[in-house]
Amino acid sequence: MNKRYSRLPSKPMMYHYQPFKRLHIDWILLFGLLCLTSLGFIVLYSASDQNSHLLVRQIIRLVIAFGIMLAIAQISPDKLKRWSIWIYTIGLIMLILVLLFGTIGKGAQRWLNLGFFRFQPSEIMKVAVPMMVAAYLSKHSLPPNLKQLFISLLIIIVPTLLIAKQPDLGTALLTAVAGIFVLLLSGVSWRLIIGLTSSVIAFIPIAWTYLLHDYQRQRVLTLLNPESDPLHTGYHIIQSKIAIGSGGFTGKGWLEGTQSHLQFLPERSTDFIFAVYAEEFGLMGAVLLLLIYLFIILRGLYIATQGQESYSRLLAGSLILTFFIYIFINIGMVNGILPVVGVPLPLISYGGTSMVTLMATFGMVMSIYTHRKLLAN
Amino acid sequence: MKKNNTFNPVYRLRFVYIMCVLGLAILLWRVFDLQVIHPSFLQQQGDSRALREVKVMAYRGIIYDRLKNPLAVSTPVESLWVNPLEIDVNNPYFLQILKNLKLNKKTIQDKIQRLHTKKSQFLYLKRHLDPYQVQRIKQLALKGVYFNKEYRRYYPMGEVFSHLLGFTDIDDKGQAGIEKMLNSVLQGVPGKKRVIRNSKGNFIELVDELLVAQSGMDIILTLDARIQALAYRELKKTMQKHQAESGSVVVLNTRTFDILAMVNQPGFNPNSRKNLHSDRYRNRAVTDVFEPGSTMKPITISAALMTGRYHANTMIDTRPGFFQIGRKRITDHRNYGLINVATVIQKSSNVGTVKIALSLRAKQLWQQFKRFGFSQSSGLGFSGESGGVLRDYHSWKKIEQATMAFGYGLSVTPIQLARAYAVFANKGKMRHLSFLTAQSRAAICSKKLLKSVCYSTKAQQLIPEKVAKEMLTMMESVVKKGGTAHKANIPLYRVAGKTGTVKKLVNGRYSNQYIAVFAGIAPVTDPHLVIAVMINKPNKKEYYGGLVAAPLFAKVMEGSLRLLNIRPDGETYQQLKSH
Repeated sequence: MNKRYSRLPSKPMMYHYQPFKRLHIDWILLFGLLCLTSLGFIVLYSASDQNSHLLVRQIIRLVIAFGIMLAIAQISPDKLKRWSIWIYTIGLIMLILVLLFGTIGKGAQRWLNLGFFRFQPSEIMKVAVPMMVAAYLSKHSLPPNLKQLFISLLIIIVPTLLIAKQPDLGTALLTAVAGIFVLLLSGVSWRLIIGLTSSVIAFIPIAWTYLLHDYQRQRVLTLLNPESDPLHTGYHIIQSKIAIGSGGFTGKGWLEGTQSHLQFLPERSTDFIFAVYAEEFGLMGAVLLLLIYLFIILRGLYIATQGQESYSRLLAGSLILTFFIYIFINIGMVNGILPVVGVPLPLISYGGTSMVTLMATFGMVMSIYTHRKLLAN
Repeated sequence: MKKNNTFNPVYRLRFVYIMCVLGLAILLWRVFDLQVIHPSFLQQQGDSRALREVKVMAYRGIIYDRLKNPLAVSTPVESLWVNPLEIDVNNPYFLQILKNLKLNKKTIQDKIQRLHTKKSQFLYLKRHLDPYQVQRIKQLALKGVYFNKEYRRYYPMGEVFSHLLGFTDIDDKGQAGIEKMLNSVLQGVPGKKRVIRNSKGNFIELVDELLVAQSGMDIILTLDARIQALAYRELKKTMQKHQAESGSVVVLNTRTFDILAMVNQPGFNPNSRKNLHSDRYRNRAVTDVFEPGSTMKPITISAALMTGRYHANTMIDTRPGFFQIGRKRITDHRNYGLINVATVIQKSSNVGTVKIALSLRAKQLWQQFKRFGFSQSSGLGFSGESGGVLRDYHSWKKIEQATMAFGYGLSVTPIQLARAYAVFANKGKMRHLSFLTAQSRAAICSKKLLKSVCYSTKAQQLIPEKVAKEMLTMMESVVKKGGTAHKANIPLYRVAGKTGTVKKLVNGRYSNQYIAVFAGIAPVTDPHLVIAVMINKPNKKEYYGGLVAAPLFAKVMEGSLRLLNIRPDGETYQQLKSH
């Protein structure tokens, strides 16, 4: 074991703080999350044109999500590991059900209506796939051999294709990425990774012609030259770039953004909320937000290093990496360096499903950290 | 750590750290690039999407009469326009709008199509909609359908002031009459404001008032709506009774030379000017010239009185009722015999007038006509105004000097005639005619908006006061028993006047069509009003000035004097008072 990391788990001060200990909450991570969600509400209030009703709904969702996080934090990593296969299987079944009976929204079949509420099984898969891969790999010694690698890839690809079929390319990619991150962390040789990546790149032309829908192709083309069609497909990117650019160094001030409030900016309370934020709070605001994200990521990665078992480390590491990827894809898309894919800005965008999923992952991360302490005792 | 594990994921986490920090750094750099390195372009793009400079229509000034009754007012209305790039021409609601507005579906669709290919973004569908229509269309919230605010001119008195006020076009610009003449005064200065609009083009917020719209100036006319309405009503009645082709009435204040009324027929409704012949738009009181006929005689006689060789009692021999000049013969109705100058006027003797006129030099006569303002602009400034024709005396032949003396061979407008008579009423003094109150004129001139109204109203003595008085007395006899226009008489007031029955010149020959004219002054004791009446082509049964124009004069004069509270001076009144 690396000496450097063996030194890391020095006793944090809060270790003796009993209420948090019993609740299995990592207060540092919680602090980061609270900062982020508070900022999120401020932005959302503005992005929704001061719709307090919408804000209240989002707050209720957050409370529920925090509840779920808290509940999951109580589950020890051991249990999570054991349950991984079942969560994964149920998720797969639901994905199939969605394809068969799901309701259609915005041109894709993503929702499963359970009567009292609707939800997207693909969201579960975002967590279930890394859990499953981590559980599978941690049964064997690391790094995985070729057979294990192949099985892992299978675990990843099956749900990915099912989600892609809905079609929901964004979630499919994120699900795959979450699984692949586990592989990355499990010590698969760089040569293999590079080989795999290049074969994926080689696969792109094939995917372009056969797998991608017209609208998806259009999104990529639009990214390359948004000005080619400013009124239709390029509209999102141009408008969001304009909104961000209008913010300048200090921003126009809270509730003062023009592009967003005058409905020039589409999807401004969901996927493009960063543009609203950047217009109103400027570069300083953007730095603040990215610092909060960095804080959460660093804390999460630190916790990953503190995992007592391969499963914990793999899972925590990949979940935090996925969190980072969300941020990167969303902000990259709003900034116009990535194609427009439906990825919300974590814990800022309006919407319940992704918030619940994210908080569940943070619940797991907290569980990994706090249960380690208990085990150590 | 399990023993069988040889690889610790923590190793790879180092790489992940770097990746995450790097990734966030890339995002930050990109945001920095957009916000700090070239934000101006993006900000400008943003502003160009949200900020609009909008023209703010200026409120057009109100036109009032002398009693501050509004005669022309602007009210805000909305006009419907579409953006051809946004509109869906086959939208059933849009088609319904076209149907309700009675617009041709095909032509509009074609027009939109054409503009669409030209990338044009503006097309007025209909201007000045009714408020209820606007409301209903707005409720539909159709894409590409917009309204803009404009003003529409309304004329509460309608046809009564039609010629005088004129009208504005759909862009609220004066096209005729006072609206045209004083357009620069009335129109104001449109403002400019910067507003924020949303992506649907709706006005959201006023950012900046770049230029405050300056409302046009309100103006007050010297006209009296009551007298105008009275004159209008009486003129219309007379026109109908005599089936005349056209007619004009001008009422002047003889002291100030302010116009109190100016009406013409045929007229038009300025609030709805559909399918109207442009003939109806003419302000005939200033544009149409006619030979004044006998109404010219007082001017001729005044010239004679001014020489000192004539006075009211100078005897003129009009026997045998005609007068031969070369091959032309000038005749009277009958042989009046030996009569004095006053009777020449009273009986309207052509022979007497000619004899007097021929005893004067041509220049004296010509000068007198000029002095009284004939062939000279009224100075009012109406477009299309005519000055009339008065040839230079050097080219006059004897017969012309003779006919001009009784009003043939020169032409005048009703307003000129009224002005000339006002000189007799105003003790021989003339002023500049006005339709604007002194107050309004001062306001316009102080702002240097319109030069043409900045004239002096100083009185100018044209003829000696004594001559003017004498002429009044002579003209008073015209409306008395034995005169040509006893129908111009009004109870309670003393009236002076002169009739004219003019043979119309048609294609260079005198036809048997007539123009009936009357110009009169009242009250004689202390003149206050002059009214000139001109009725063109009354039917053949009655065409004498004394029968057609004089009764109309009497009605208008009587009503006006009462409306203006002018003290009666007539014999009947004196009798009533002594009782």
